[in-house]
Amino acid sequence: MNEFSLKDILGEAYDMEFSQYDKPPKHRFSLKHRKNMKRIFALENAGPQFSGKARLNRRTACVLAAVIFLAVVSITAVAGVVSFIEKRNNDNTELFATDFGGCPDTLENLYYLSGIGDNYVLQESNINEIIAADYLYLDSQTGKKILFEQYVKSRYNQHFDNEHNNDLEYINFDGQEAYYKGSDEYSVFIWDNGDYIFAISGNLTKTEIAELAKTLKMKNN
Amino acid sequence: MISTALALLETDEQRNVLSEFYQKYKNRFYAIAYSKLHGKAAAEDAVQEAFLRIVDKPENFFKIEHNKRVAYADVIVRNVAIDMFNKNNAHKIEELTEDVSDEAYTLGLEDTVTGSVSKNELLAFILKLPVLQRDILNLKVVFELSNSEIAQKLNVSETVVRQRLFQARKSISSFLESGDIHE
Repeated sequence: MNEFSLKDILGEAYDMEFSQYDKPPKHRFSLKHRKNMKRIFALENAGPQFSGKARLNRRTACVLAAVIFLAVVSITAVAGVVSFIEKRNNDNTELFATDFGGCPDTLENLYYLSGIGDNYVLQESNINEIIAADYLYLDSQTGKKILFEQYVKSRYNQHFDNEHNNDLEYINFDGQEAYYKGSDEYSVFIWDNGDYIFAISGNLTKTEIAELAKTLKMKNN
Repeated sequence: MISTALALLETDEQRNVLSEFYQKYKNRFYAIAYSKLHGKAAAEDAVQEAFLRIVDKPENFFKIEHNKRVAYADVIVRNVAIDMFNKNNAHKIEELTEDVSDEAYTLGLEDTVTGSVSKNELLAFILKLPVLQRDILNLKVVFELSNSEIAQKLNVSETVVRQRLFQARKSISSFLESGDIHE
């Protein structure tokens, strides 16, 4: 008669069965899934959160951020100054870029913000070469977050809640067209460097976020 | 459901540990779910549902040794995916009609088992057990969850848990005695 530990045998069976998943292919999770997972872990709702605020406030913050995009698009569409177009639906506005002739159709070059302070630690990153890259940084001391996103222009397409109105400020950002909306607590900064669409959002002032945007650098340079 | 889960992860440490754990293995969990569901959205939903079940009573997760947590999550993700597949395809799993008491089941529940078969033969036999039985065995024997905890994680009744455990044990016992597979 032989003696076995059922626990050990089950462990071995598990190893044999699941070893095929040890090196899984990278999957680009949908925005919906990413948002829901962040909510499960009580992190945030698809963007930097207002520290210490109730959940409703964080949602409101996201709505505000979305409205900023809408306002940017509205103004640019009228003025014809930058390459964004908005399409209004019943309860949201779809935003996408135009005029991307000659722009890379993949993330041939990845960018980063050299000016993000050492107190911020990269908490999450998602890179899909044909769509976008995003990097979420957290200052664990203050709970402040910075979200940096780089989009392929031809794939830039987002839906935003359009139930609120917000003012918007156009900025000549070192010769590049940029838009800012925010308060002392929360800011969003969006610009088009000619090749890609970039966005920074977080608990930063206007000066801080614009200075941070100036530190954009190409990774492989 | 999500807002319910939010209330259950009460400490920053728990949130960070679970979030980092998810980030590290999310592609693995997605691949497991996808292998059962063959659909991107469904596989993502399965991973999300599995984590909702994990954060509901998170103490089950945190009491598991670090190197075994991924196995625990794997089992739950797979079960959720199978459950979703069965529901989507209106596939009913036949359970034993007999009620199996805890007392009856716990007979022979010891970790150490004996038999005339070799280790590899027993391993091969366990791999041939129905997945749902094998996963419940894992949760019970390896992760030492109670029947009610297993029922919560797999979204089944405790009766179903007892039945599947009983079936698995009965099959293993028969195999150990005779070396043959008894359905």
